[in-house]
Amino acid sequence: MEYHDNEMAGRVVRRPNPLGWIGLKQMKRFWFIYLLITPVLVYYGIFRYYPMLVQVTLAFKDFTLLGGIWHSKWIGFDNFTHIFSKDEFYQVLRNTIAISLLRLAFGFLPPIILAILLYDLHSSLLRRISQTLLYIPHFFSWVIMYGLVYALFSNTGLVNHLLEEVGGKAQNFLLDANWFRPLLIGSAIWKEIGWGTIIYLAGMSMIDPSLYDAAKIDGAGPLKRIWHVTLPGLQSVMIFLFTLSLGGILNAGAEQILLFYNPATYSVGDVIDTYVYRQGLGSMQYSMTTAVSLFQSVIGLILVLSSNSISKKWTGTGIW
Amino acid sequence: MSERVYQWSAAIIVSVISAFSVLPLWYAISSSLVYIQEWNAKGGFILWPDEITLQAYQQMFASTLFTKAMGVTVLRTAMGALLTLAFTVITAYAVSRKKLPGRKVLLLAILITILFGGGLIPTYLVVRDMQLLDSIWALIIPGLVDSWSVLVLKQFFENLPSEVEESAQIDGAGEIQLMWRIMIPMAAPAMAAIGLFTAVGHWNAWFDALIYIDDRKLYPLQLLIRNMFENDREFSIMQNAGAATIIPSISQESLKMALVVYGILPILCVYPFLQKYFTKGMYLGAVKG
Repeated sequence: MEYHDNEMAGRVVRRPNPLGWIGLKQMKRFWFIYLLITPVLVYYGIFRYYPMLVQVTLAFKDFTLLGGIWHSKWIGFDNFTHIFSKDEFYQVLRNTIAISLLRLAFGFLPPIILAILLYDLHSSLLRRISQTLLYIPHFFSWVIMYGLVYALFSNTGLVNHLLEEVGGKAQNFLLDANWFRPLLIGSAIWKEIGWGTIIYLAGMSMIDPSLYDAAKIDGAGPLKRIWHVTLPGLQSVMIFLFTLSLGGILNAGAEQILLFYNPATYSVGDVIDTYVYRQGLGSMQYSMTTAVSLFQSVIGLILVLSSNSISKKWTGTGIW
Repeated sequence: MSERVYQWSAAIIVSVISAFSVLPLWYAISSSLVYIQEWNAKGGFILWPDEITLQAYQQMFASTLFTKAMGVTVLRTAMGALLTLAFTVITAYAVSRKKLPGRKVLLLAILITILFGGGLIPTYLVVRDMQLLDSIWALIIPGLVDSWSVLVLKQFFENLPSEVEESAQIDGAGEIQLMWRIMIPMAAPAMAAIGLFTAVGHWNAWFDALIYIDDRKLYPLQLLIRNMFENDREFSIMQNAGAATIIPSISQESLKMALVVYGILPILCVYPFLQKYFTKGMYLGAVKG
């Protein structure tokens, strides 16, 4: 609250100023800041908030090229009833949730385990060299990643060569719907496992070292120390990241999927974002796919808010 | 488990995973360095080349589509990183000023954009209506400010010791001098990290070009690479752009791998020098106050 000094007969009386937030004097003081952030505000207005407006209107309209965004007909929830009646929507939704859960199931623990091993290494030389190597894949683009997966798993790739050496049969990994999800999730884990250790290493650096000493004195071996000291110390971080991942369940890593999938693997790989891209921009079904997007945004918002409050309740930390 | 067994297991596991982290890249590089004869002789299974040639890399430069793509990527990375950094710093500094009227509203406006977005189609329509399609600005402006970075940098500004601010004010510094000469220089490490991450993001970006750009001459490098894997026709279009004759001493696969290496080379080159900035930046974002 801002107070205005008011001298009455020599005494200083402080009165709360209910309109303090208007503070003209403060605005004058910061004039150049307002000037500098004007372009940013314009940017947010045009490229962040205006599309939100478009999204909530277009989803309820029947977009035609003639009408454009603003003059197409209002059709209420017709777009939504249309989508919810389509089988392919449910397949897409199933794929989205399945892939997200698989990513979480297989990708959650490896960085933690690796971080613990790194942290406990006696040799700081090995640790530093490993970390340098481990962080590299994080900086590859997904295009490059796909290129490497191609180099390894194509019909003339490394893996098929090795398979043939040991007498197996060459597989068509990249076009086989059964291999799609393993390759997708495996390559994602490969790419991010190193980088993912950073946040856990940061968390472990906050654990009181004397706890480890006490455990050692009590005769605890390395595994027991991990169970009783390290993991409890990492509990908040783990729960925070886990709930956050659940909140993002409708975003299944579409950038990677868009590169990895092809018509042969749509049945297992097509997720909400790729569906919106293909049907929306590809087939120009703007309003229907905007309805799908809106559905995703709203459900996603609810999930993130819920997971954030759950995380806060359990660990005291949230996104904000 | 004894301490020694644990240490040895840890060392082995860590070493194996680290080696696997770079093995695919190694494989791609060696595939790109061989002549077609060796490629055919070994059936494409090149772990260590017998004879090295840089012809695959040289041949790329004969393609005007490739050189243009390099240019586009370099340009968007430089401009994008600079502009994004400038605007992110300004915004973060502004919302870190506790006495700024309207601060809470600004903060809320930024936070909302983290939780909710416009969606693919609406954003595309807006970019189209802003006449940005088929221009390099479509690659720079739509993603100009990342709200998350703003919040992280704001936190950083708020954590700077207030004594510096106070002594500057005692010395008679106005708000402008305070920002320009003191607060921003103190934020240099955080700014470096954000600038680097933004640059890497631009270098690696391909999807925005996919949806906003139709003109092949404006494709960034990553999109070119993606198209090349998407279908072979795109690959021959690229090869034939500008090159008078194609020297068939290098296999198609080697050329593809060379292109992939081009896509990662600059980052690999600067990475050893900048690694500490990257990890420090990540640390800043991870450990909240």
